Amino acid sequence: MDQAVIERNRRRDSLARQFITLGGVGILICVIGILVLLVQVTIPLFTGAEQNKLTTFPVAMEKDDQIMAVGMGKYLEKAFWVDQKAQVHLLELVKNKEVSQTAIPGFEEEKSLLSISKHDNNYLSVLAESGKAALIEVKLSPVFVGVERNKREIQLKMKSLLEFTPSQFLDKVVKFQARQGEEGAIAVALLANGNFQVLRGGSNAADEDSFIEVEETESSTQGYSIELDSEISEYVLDKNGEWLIATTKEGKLLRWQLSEEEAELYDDFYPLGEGHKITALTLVYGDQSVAIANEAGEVKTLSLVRQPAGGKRLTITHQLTTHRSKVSKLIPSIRHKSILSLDETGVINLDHLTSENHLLQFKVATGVKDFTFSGRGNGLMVLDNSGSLHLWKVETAHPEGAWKVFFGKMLYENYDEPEYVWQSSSGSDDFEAKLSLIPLMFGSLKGTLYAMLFALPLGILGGIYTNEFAGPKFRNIVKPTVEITAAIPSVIIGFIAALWLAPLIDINLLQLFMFFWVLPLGFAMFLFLWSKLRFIPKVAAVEKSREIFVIIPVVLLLFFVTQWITPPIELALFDGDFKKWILNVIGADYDQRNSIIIAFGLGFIVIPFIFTMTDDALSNVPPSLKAASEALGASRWQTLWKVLLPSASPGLFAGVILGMGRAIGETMIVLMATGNTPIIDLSAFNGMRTLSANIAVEIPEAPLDGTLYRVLFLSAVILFGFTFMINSVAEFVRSLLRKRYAQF
Amino acid sequence: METSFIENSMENMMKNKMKWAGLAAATLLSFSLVDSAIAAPKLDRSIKSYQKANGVGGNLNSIGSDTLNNLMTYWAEGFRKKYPNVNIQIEGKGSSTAPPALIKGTSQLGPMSRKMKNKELEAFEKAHGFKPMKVAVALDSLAVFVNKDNPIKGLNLKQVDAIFSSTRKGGHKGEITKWGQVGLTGKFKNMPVSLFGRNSASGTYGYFKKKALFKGDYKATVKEQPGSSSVIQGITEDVGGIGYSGIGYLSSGVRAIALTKKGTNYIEPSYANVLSGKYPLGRQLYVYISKQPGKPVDKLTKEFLKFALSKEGQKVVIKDGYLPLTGKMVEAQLKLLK
Repeated sequence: MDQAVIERNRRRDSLARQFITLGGVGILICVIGILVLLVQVTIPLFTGAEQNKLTTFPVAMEKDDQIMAVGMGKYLEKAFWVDQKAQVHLLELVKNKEVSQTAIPGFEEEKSLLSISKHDNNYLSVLAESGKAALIEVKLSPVFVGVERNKREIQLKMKSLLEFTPSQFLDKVVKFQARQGEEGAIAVALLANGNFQVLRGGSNAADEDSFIEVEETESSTQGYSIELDSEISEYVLDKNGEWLIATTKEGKLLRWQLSEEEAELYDDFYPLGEGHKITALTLVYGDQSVAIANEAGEVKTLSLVRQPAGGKRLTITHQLTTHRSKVSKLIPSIRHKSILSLDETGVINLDHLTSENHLLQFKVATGVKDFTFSGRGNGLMVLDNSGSLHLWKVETAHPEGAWKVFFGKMLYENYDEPEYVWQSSSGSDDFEAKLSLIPLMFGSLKGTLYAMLFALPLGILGGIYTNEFAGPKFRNIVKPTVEITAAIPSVIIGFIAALWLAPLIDINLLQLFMFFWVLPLGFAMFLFLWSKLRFIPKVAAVEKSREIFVIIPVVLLLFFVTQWITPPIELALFDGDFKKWILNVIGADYDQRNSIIIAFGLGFIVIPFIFTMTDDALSNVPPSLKAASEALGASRWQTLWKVLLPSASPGLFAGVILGMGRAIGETMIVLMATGNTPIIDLSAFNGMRTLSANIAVEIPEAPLDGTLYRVLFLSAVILFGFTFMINSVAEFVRSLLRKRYAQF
Repeated sequence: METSFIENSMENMMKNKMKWAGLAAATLLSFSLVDSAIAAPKLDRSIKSYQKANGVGGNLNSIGSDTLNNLMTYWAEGFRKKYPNVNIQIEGKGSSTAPPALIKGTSQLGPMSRKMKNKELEAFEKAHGFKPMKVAVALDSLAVFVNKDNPIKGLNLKQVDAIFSSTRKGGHKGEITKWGQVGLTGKFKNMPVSLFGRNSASGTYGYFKKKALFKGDYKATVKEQPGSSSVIQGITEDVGGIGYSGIGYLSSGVRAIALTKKGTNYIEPSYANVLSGKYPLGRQLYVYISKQPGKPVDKLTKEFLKFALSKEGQKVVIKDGYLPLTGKMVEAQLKLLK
C-alpha cells in the first residue's frame, strides 16, 4: 500500500484515539466533579462550632450595686443588666458604655429585689422584697428613626405581662417564676411555708396565630397551693402551664401536671440515684425535655417516655458531656435544642440534645456571676464577680449533624423508643428535626425491588419472544414502540398511576390477584388443548411466529373469566371484603398508594431498557451459533436456553442493571404515585419515600446552606453511591460472564 | 455504553428535578368547585371598591403558598384586567418556598399560609437589614376532609391528633387506626383510616402540626401530597380517607367535618365560627412583601395588594371558597401599606 495512505490512516487513527480518550476523561472528570460538589456541600454538617471573643470591659456600677440578671439582644449590639433597685441598665456593647437606665415597669417604687429568673432569653420573673411579683417582657428591637426613618437603632422596651400584689400570695414568697403561654400566663411561687402556689392570669396576647381580639383576663385568681413535704432547690414550669418540675435538696425530681383547679403529681423519683444531689435544672428549648446536672459534673436530659405499664414518665434520654467539677448552672439555647452548662471552675460546655454533639468547651472566666445566650444563639455574654463583662460570638451552624443522627436509631422527644424517623421540618421553631436517612434509603431500595419484580420477567421474556419467536415484521413494529415508551416523561406516568391506576387497583384488588392465578392455570389448560390440536397442519402453522394472534384472545378471555368469578369468590372466601381479609389475616394495612402501583409505574419506565438490551444482546450472538444449533436438531427452546442465552447473558445483565439504575434514581413516579411515606416496611400494600423523591419534595423549602439543605445533599451523595455501586458490580459481573462465555 | 451508566442516571436525576417545577402546575387541575353545604360568607359592606391608579406597569412575581395559589391566580386575572400591561407570574409549591424567594429577590410577593418562623425572619433580615412586612389577605378555616360517603359527624382535636400523630401530644389514650374507634359502625367499623396530608414545604402542614397535633409529629404513614388538590383527589378516591387542607379546596367528592377543641360540641368551619374563634383551626392567609422602612412600598406591589384588599378582591376570596376579611381587618392592612 502507498506509504502516504498508511501514514494518513495512522494519523487519523491517532487523532481519533486522542479525541475519544479526551471524551472519556472528560466524562470521568464530570462525574468526579459532581461527586466532589455534592460532598463539599455535605462536609460542613460534620464540623463543630466556633467561638470568637469579641470584647471584655468592666461594667460601670456603683459599689453596692448587685447584678440580679443579665440579658442581651439578638443582634449582639446591646445588652442589659438589672440591679437590685429594679433599674435596667442598657449597655452598648460596641462602645462599651451604658446608654440608659430605666426602672422595671411597676417596680419604680420598690427598694430592693429579691430575685429575677429569666426565660426564653428576655422574659424576667421579678420578685421584690415587698412581695410584689411580675412577669416582664424585655425587648431589644430595632427601630428605624430619623427624618427618613433609615437610621437603625436598638431600643429597649419593657412590658408587664402579669402582676401580683403581696396580698395575692398565701404566704411570703421565696421564689417566683412565671411564663407567658398561648392562652395566658401562669405563675408558680415557692412560699415561705414550703408550699407552691399556682396562679394564672394575663392575656392570650402571645398566641401569634390568633386574629381574634385579645381578651384581657383579670390578673388573677388566688389559684391553689401544692403541699410539699421536702425542701425544693429549683423548679421550672413550661410555657403552656401544663407541667411543673422541681428538684428537691435530696436529689429528687418531682413533676406535676397542672390544671385549672389542681395539681397532680406524676413523677417522684431520684433520677441519678438516691443520695446524688441535683445541682442545676433547666427546660430545653421547646419545653419537651429537662436537663439536670450533678456534683460529679454529669449533664443529663430527661423527657416523657411512655411506660410499658401505661402512662408517661420522665426518663433519662441523653447524656451530655461531663464536666470536671460540679455543674453550677444550665441554660438552654433558644435557637435550637442545645444546653449550655457551666461548672464551678468557669468552664462552659455547649452540647446538642438530639445528636449529643459536643459543640464547644472553653473557659470563660473565674467566678462567673451570671451568663446569657443571645436570642439567636450567636452570642454568649458572661459577667464575672469582678464586674467584668465578656462577650463571645458563637457559631453553631449545624448542631444536629452527626452520623448517628443520619444512620442510627435515635430516641426523640415524645417518642417511646429509639427509632429511624424522617420528619425534617415544621411550622414552629422549637421543633426537633428528625433526619434519619434510613427510611429513605429503604424506600429507594423497596421501590426498585418492586419495579424489578414486575419489569424483569416482562422485559426479558418480551425481549426473548420478540427476538427469537416472533417474525421480523412483528419485531419491526414492537421494538420501536417499546423504545418509544421510554421517551414518555415520567411525570405523565406518575400522574396516570396516581390518579387513574391507584383508584382502579383499589377497587379491583382481588381481581388483580385472581388474575395472577387464573392466567397461568388457564394458559396451561389452553396449551394442553393446543397440543391435542397440533396434528391439524393449519393449527401447527400458527406456531411459526404467529402465536401472538392466538394468545391475545386467550388472555382477554381469561381476563373476562377473572372478572366474572371474582365477586362470588370474594364473597365466599374473603367475607366480601378482600382488603379487610388482608388486614385481619396477613396483618398488613392496605393503602391505596402502595408498592403495587409503583411496581407498575416504575416498571413501565424500566421495561424498555431491559427489553431493548435483551433484544440487542440476542441479536449480537453470531448467527452461525444459532444455525449450528438448529442444524444439530435442537428445538427453538433448546437453542435459546443452551446456546443463545449463555452468550447473550452479559448483555442481558447490563440491561437489568441499567434498568435498576434507572429505577433507583427515578423521581416523579414515586413522588406522585406513592404517598411519600417514610416507613420501613417491605409490605406490598403500602408505599415508600425514596431518596430522590425526598430531594425533589424538600429542596424548594430548604434554606440555602441550612442543615436540611446539606442533609439533602448528603442523601444525593448516597444516591450517587447506590448507582455507582450497582454499576460497578454490574461491570464486574459482566466481565466475569464475558470471560466465561467468550469461547462461543 | 459502559461509561454512560452513571452519567445516564445522574442526568435523569437532574432532568427530574426540572420537571418538578412543572408538577405544581400539573396537579393544580381545577378541583376547586365549591360545595354549597356551607353557606357562602357575606362581604363586609365597609370594604371599598378598588380605585385604579395611574402609571402601573411591569413585572410581578409571586412564589409561595399552594393554599393561596388559586386565589393569587384569580387576583392576578382581575388585576390584569385593570392594568393590561402588567405581567404576573405565580408559582405555588408551598409556603416554605416564599422566604427563600423573597430573600433572593426573585419574587416581590410571598404568599404564605402560616407566619414566617423566626429563622426565616432572621435570614431575611440578614440579607436586607430589615424585617419583611406581612399583609393578611384572607381568612381560612383549615378543614379536615373525609370522603363524602363517610357519615362521621365531627372530631375533637384530641382525636384528630390520635389519628394523624405518632406522638399523640393531645393526650388521647390510644392510637386511632380504624374508623370504628371514633364511633362509626357498619362497613366503616373495621375500615382502616387512610391518611392524606401535605408535604413539609406547605404552610398548612406546619400549621396543622402546630395546632391539631399540638406540635407533635406526623405518623410516617401520612401520604404526603405535593398539592392541596392531590389531597382532595386522594380522599375522593379513598372511602376511608381523611386529610387536611384549606377550605378553598372543598369539592363535591369530600366533606369538611366539624371540629372542636375537646368534647363533642362540634363546630362547623363556617365564617361566623371562624370569626368568633370557636372553630379551632381558623387562620389568616398572608402575603409577605419586602418593605424598606422609611420608603413607600413598590407601586405595583402596593396596587396589587390594594386590589386584593378591595371589594373586588375579597369577592374573589369568596368565589374561591375562602373567607373574606372583615372591614376592620382590611382597614388595618391598608394602613400598613401606606
